[in-house]
Amino acid sequence: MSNIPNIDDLVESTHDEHSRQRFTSVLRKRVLVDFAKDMKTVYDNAVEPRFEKKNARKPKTGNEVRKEMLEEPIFQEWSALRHNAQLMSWWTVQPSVERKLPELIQTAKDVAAATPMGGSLRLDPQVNIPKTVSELDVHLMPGCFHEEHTEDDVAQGAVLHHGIKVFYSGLSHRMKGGWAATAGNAIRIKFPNFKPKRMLDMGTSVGRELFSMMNVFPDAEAHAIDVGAPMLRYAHARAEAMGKKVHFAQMNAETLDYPDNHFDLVTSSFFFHEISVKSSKKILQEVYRVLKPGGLMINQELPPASIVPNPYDDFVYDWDAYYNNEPFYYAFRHQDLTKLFVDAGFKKDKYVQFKAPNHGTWPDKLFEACVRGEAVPPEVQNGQAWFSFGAWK
Amino acid sequence: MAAPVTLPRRSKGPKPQFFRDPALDHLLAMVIALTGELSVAIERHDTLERLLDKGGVLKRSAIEAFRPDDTVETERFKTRDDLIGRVFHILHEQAELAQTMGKSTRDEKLSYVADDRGAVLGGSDDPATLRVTAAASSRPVPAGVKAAAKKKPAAKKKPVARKAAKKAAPKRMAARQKPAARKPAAKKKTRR
Repeated sequence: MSNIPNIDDLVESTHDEHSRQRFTSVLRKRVLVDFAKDMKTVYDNAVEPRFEKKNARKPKTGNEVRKEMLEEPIFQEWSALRHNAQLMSWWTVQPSVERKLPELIQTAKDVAAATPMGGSLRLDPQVNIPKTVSELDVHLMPGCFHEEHTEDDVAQGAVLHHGIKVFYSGLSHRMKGGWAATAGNAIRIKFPNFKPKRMLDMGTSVGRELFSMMNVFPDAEAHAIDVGAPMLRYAHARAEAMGKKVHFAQMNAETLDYPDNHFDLVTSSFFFHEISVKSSKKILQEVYRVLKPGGLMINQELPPASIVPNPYDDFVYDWDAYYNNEPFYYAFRHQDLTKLFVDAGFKKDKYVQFKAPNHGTWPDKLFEACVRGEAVPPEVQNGQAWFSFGAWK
Repeated sequence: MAAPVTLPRRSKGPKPQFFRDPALDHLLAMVIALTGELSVAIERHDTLERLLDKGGVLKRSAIEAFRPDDTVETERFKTRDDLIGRVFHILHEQAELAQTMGKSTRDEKLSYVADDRGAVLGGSDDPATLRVTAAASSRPVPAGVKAAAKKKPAAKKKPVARKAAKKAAPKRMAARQKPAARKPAAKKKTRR
């Protein structure tokens, strides 16, 4: 509708950069699927029997598995591969972003000035960037969500957007559906009378999940916050180009500047594990305040240890807590989520959690059966299914 | 227009050590990067051969017979040089870290994270393995390293090395300059 280009399309990789990105995607697939199976085989055949011999029982927790696995060469090598593939997801897109940065910035500025869809961008240079973001690069992405390398910078947003594609695209099912499409459709099926008029996405980064949620609830007025200005500038430019009207604001979720009883739906994805439990509590109190009575907060995360039946899987889920600059992951996964919401003011019987298969990669009938509790969804690992949790006000 | 921006390549935060000898972690990083570059080269080669063959431009024998002249050699020098820079990036990263510690705004200020991590992990069912103390905050120490270090009285000197390292360079580098600190790694063979 305007002659402003889509910011997503501006970054072009050279032949070799493309090869480097594809290699990284395939390497990640190998690590997360093939080599992960190999590592499990070593565990089943050598490590667990060794533990049993020593202790006259099988391991009970992920930590017990971890202690044994730390000594295993295959765990060390697998971890080194996984760690490096993670870094390469960002490294392989950075040069193309650097080359096009002036154009990217100009495009974001043009969009912000024109706002063809009527969305908005509210930045706050005084925003309180939490130490959990400023002290280390989350997910090993150099520069994290917030660093600005030049004026009106969008580089980190572009690196995240293009890096995520490298990160996921070795796993073909990750290119479809995603959490918000999955949870959104599950909510639509489970609660057909829930029709949100206004929603808020927290820690939105470049809006990936928000835009999917908007597809499920197209009539809801969409708001989104993040602490990183480069994320929001980039997300706003994307949204307008994708025909989505979103009001973005740079804000720390611990202190929301929205009025009481304002939103019908508040969402987040891969957000709570990146912050401390202490901070989660403050944020949930704020969410409770801004939610309308009858409103819903729903979030995505890896499943908590309490619902992972197998200590080996629990050990694999905890990998990021130790090696991916996500030091709060462990505490997040090993807490009582119901209590977290009750402490923030939600009623215990209003807490909800469910697992559903990735929307779009499984037959609709299976998806619906899982949502209705008539079938068991696949394992959450590698995005085959998603774990959602939250509460009604 | 502003000067071109170079984005940081080093991730701020603790760098994990998976092997007893950190040099092995570095070596694996090199091997992985090298494999990637090899894959890139093979693909470019493949693209070329397909396009040339499709266009009827040359046959394989012509490739075998090719000898580079000086101009080509100069171009190839830079290509190889860049390749080496990427494959052995881990060396440059250590230099960058050593150079900027205490000066750059991208310095590692791990106090907060280290404390929290200690608190977070200390509550687990095996604190001895999982607790990451402030002094050792830059990476989780594999259990084997701790066990090996305990047996060696020489390893008691470690905190001194850490204190000194904190000021000038990451402790990983300082530890590597101390022969005593390498002994646990050398013991690996006999233990296995």
